[in-house]
Amino acid sequence: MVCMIQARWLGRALVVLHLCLPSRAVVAAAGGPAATGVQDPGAALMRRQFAESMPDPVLINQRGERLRFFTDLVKGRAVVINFFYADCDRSCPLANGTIRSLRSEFTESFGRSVRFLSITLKAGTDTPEVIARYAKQHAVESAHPDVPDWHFLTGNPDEIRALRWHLGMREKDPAVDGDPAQHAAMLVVGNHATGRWAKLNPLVRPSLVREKAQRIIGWTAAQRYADIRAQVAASAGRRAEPDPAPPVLPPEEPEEAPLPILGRLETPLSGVERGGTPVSTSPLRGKVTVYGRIYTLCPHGSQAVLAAMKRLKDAFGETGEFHLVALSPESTRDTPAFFQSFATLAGAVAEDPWWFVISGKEAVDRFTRSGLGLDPPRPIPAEERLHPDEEEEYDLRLVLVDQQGCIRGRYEVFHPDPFLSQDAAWQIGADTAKLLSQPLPDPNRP
Amino acid sequence: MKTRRSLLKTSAGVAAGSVFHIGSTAHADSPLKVDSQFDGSVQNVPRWENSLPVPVPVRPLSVRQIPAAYGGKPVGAVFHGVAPEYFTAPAGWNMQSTQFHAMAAKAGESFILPRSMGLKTPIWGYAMARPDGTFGDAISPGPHYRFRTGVPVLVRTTNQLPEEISTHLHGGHWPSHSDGHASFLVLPGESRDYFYPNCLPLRKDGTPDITESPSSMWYHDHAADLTASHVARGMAGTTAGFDDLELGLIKRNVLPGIPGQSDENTIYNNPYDLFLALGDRVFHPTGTIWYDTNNNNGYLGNVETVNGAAYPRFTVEARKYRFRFLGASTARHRRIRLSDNSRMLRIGNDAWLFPKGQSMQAFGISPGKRVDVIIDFSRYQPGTQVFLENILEQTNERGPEGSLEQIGDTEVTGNPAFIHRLLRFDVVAANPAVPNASITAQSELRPHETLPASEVEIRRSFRFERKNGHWAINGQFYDERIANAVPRLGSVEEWTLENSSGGWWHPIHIHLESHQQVRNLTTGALPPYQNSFKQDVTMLGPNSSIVIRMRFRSFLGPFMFHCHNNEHEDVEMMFQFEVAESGSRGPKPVNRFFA
Repeated sequence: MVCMIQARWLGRALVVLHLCLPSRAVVAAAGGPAATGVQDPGAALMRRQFAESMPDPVLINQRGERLRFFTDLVKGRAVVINFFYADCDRSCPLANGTIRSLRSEFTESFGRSVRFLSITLKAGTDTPEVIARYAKQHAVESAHPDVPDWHFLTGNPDEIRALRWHLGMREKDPAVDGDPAQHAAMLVVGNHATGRWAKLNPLVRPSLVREKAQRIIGWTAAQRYADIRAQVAASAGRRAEPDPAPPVLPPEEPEEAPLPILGRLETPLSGVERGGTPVSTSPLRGKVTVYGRIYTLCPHGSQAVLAAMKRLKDAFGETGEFHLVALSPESTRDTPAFFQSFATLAGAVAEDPWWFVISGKEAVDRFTRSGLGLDPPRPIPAEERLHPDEEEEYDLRLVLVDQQGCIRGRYEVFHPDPFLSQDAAWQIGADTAKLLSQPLPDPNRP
Repeated sequence: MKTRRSLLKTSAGVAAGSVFHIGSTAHADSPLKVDSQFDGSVQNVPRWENSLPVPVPVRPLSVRQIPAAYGGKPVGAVFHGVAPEYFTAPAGWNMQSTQFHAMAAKAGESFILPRSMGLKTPIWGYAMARPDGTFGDAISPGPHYRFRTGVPVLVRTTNQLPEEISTHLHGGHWPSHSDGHASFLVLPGESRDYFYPNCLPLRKDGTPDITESPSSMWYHDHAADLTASHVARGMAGTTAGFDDLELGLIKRNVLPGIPGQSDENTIYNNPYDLFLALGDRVFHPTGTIWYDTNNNNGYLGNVETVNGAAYPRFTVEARKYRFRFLGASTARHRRIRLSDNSRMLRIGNDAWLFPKGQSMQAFGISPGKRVDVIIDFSRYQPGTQVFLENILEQTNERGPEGSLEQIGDTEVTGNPAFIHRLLRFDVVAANPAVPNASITAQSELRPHETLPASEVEIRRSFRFERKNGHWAINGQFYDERIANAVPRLGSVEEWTLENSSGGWWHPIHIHLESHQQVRNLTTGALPPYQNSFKQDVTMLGPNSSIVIRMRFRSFLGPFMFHCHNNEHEDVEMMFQFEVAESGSRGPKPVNRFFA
């Protein structure tokens, strides 16, 4: 679900957050409001409602591809949208110039996680052939793998008008609204994942447009505010935080689609449970299992992971078909006894279908990497350590494994954006329910 | 009057304990028709089930010394720092009496709709800090502050939301860093020390200008591009200011209050003086606030709220109350009256008290404005129910029906065609231990000084218009690095605010100090009584021009001025002026920037 670049980048983002926030704020960011855990559907709706009712017409791009506007182009992405027509000689050339420069500036930082969509206002005359010629004139195709897509789109004029109105590009005066020559030059910039949308004026200072667009397009707080943080730091005479490498998020799968199979858990892990009992994960075949790595030196991360596991236990623990496994390599600190108290604090009792397994470091690393498909530990440079023993940074995603041992999802329940971490916590619950063919428990009813 | 008396008579025979309604029943309630943004919205909201939320004043965490809640971080040691004026405060600012507060902007939930509907509404609001530095639950309206002129206040504001914020305390006189400038943000996870010196600007002779002491303020989010959606989600709260003059009016029982209690201590506890924040919302069937982020024309709700509760009731004693009405909507204008058309006494406009009250039957209130009103319930028998009504129809974001003059009319003639009830007052007997306030239309309140033409140094003109599908001023858009006007510190300027965006209304808010209306250029008329003193929002009706004068004192810029229809402000009907040691007629790059 999350590619390597992002995982590496996020690791850094967490370090940055650790360094610059009081620890309490990090807990709040990881646990979300009141640590209620599961993303409240109402709160999600408050932020995401704009895209909830977005029209989904079929549009045709310059390559002749038929694409659904929301499903294929917007969902899971950040987008920069404008309206144009091929023989427009007023604001279109200016807007195209702004888009071209944004596209080149975002290539490195956002890659293909952002899309540029130019939709025609004269669908009647801007046929797919005209659109193709127009795109060719603007030389929008690129062989570079990270250049964001720029689609020129045409389609049914009525559907495009409805879409334009939904996007807020509607003039109250019908005479103005119906006249393409008087169309607004605005860019509609949005991010489906965070639900943030705004209209930006392409005719103001380009760096202002870029900075504002970045705040909307950015997937993480650090990315959104890199420029402002640097400014504040500069004005305070402090060193700017390093600008981390960018993440690239692939699009989300459509909701209706079955859960993807991301891999298979071939080799089981053997280790020791809390009380010292030897256990193996092989008898868990036949159950839906969630694995998570516990990293007791990172209290915020572990807290978020354990809280997410606790919610899953509360929701599905009594089905008899569900199991949780918290993993950690053995060390002088992480002993079975220490894990016992850790588990108690997390709200796990011995009868729960929830193991806290300790095994050798090599075995745990191999199991999490080749088995669960998590990222390998990343060494933390000495100067970034918050704790002298904290030598490596771990991928703390929860992994959902189905009855057949297939990996069906990895979930970022510890993420600097509380919205995204809550969303991940909600998503793993929904996906688990799907695998168990159970209705998702109502998060509002304890 | 006749109707009411006959009603009272008919009700006299009714058994004790029953209630009788006051007001015309012919138009009991017109629905709020709004341009449909969302078809499935909640329509039928039970009336008068909610009780009116009465904000409890916040006590400072500490005085003089920074509180434990700051975690040992001195003032200014947070990411966004503190205003430089905190460290260069002149002796007159009485810094040793500084009160320290902390709050967080965070997500929460609230019962806005009556509990019987079973729908909780997610909100973004503000939460008070506990003594240990953690924060309570987010509420909306946010914590209610009471400031004393002459006592500096520092509020450490932490952002626990996933989007950037900026808190503007509207109506006060603050340093640029702390003024809630649209680009002086608090990033997620970070804090800013907002410094409110509560100083008065100085007259030319060096004495404090007591005419400028603010009474009714409010704070709300002001982050560029996000203000409207943040305010719609609940990011607003109220602040009352008190100076010796106003506390004296309470002590002498001119203004409502409990003498000896409401004029003392840091929170001035006063059961007879409260804000009524008027808002409107659209609700999704799940109770979530429905807000279209991409409609930049304005947000109109079909459900009215007062202090964050839909159609509440409020029990009042049969005595005089002071209500500080706040237009907390982003686009809805209202004209407010009592259901029996009784007279009320208006005592202030925006943050400032009038020299003398204005007797009236109705007042207009637009987004961002405050209207300070005395209502005398001693005219009603205990058991009476009287309603607060909006009699101004507004069906689309352009603005309300009628002209600027009609909305400002203080008399109500005939039966209004549109009536929408907002709040029910349930009258009970007055507590005999507290005498009724003595205020009348003759009572002397806050003196006023007119800014004469002879003092004007620079005249400027700002045209509020639509351009390129965007809202613009003089054909230009907000740029955080351009000071669109540079007034000289201490000077007086005269600005013409012109609305040429055919058919649209624009409430224009200017930060830093009050401004005074001089003349309406469209009608040639002098301002009506209620607009002839001080204000911080000047309402522009369709195709109107109003000349204002303003002084720029105490603080160097930059400061914002903008349309207070927050949706218009977000799509850049916003400028800034940078008060500087030497003024300039043309725009200049911004010199001071406090990101």
